[in-house]
Amino acid sequence: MLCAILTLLPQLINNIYEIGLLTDFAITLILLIGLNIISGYGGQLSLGQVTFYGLGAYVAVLQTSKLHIPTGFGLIIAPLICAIFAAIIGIPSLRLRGLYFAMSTLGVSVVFTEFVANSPRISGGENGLTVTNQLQIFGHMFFDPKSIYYLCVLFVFISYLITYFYIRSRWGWSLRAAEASEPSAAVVGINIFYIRLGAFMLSGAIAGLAGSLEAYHQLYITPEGFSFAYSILLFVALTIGGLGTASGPVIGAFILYAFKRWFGPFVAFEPLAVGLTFILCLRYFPKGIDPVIRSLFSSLTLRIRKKKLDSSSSTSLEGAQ
Amino acid sequence: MNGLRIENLSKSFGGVQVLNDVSFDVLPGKLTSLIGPNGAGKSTLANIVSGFLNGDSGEIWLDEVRVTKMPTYKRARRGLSRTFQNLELFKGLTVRENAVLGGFTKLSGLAIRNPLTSKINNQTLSTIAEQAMQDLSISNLAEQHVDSLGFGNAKNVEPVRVLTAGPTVLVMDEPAAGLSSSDAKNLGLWLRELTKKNIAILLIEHNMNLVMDISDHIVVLDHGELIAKGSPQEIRTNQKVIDAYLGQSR
Repeated sequence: MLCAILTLLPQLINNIYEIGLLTDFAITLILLIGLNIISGYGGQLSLGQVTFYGLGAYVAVLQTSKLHIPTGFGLIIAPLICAIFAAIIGIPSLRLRGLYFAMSTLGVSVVFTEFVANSPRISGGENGLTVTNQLQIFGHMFFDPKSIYYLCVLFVFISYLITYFYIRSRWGWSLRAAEASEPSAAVVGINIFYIRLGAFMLSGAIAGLAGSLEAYHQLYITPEGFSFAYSILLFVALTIGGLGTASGPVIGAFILYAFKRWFGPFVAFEPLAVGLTFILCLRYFPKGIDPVIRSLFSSLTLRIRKKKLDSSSSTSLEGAQ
Repeated sequence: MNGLRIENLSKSFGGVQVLNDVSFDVLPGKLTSLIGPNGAGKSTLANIVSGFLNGDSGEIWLDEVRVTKMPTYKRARRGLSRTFQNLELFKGLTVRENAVLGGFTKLSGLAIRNPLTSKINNQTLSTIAEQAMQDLSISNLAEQHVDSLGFGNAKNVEPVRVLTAGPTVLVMDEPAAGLSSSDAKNLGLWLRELTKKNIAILLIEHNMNLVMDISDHIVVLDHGELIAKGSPQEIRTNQKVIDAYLGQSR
């Protein structure tokens, strides 16, 4: 349903700025879908998601500019490289627990940003890189904002589909089981480290995909766009939406989109607004907005059912009289 | 020897010797109880046997395979299962899902639940889980989330998980804690039934009535030392055990 709405939206909007914001929304949503795997279902506080996002963006640009690989392959190569990089980071850091894991991923994120900013020969340094080649898939050029937007919506759908099947697979169950009780998971034969490593790699690959899409959407990438502060913002948005829920990433991405839209002219206020929302959310809905919407929806359907039942019983009583 | 063999096991935390050269066997089809006062080293022993801790010295054998350095999940795959003193359930999942996860090692294929019908794909495991839930009278709660269960019902989910796992060796850490006397009695009957399936059971328990009623062998620990082992009758009359433990619990 979400994808249907997202597909129809450009029919109502003809403003390029608005289409750009919607594309940002779709890319953020892909990022949050990836983060939701490791941090939501897996319960591991990863603050390094932006590393994979940035890496994906740089790989997508560099594979064409340095290695002359067709642009379309960037959408496959970037996630693959990010998954491998996630494995390299995950093998030592997933042996740590709780905040120690969060700190290690945060550290990697800081190192990545510094490395990119200080390697002008590879990454263009602080000045960043300009995307000179348009994205082309099977001969189709994605040069106008609407076509890039539709491509992002397609990848939102694919990312959701992958997550849907992953969570229902034995790996997804194992991941949730390990999150719920590590001792019990080990006792039923689950190799917790291996399962979490797989989840971290999948999460990194999806973030890499989002990064490559971001590169072709913005056509210009700088290390500033992949700072660790954005990692924290993403985690906050997902927590507000609801960790480990299907709609959590949508709500989180919508909150970031709404704030970007409302605070567009006052960029400095955006983190402040997200921070305040986070505090209010932790106070009133500690499990995020998703469970609140669910309970409202179920009480509403219960009321409708009750009304229907009441009206049908009164009709049958009248009939009997 | 099949079953569980603990050989010269020692463990210390800092300067405190928690287990000192402990050796005993848990035979298939027999229920061996491990008793002793608080701090005797019972839970430490259970944690070493199941792989959550490593002993300083000594060996653990599981069905004639040395598992001393093996991680917990590998021991589980070799047929060792355990329950915990404090409830360790898969929160956020239903009773049925908890039960099916017990048989994780038997699961194969990509999807556990059919994504369209939500039915559990593995029919054999599904049937075993259903039977286990019936055995412990919680099949009517199958679709409830374990978080919403009362203590008594929640306490039965771990045994259900054990049954689905189909272990050859089972370690139960204080399963009767917090249970009413009738529930404890039912638990005892259930454990006796398990021995008929040729499972080697190591029961760690403080409820002496239960222990004396259902055990084939009893091992007594005190301050990390094995002070006695034998039949319930022998243990009941052992002066060392009376002085160290039974005198208090009677």
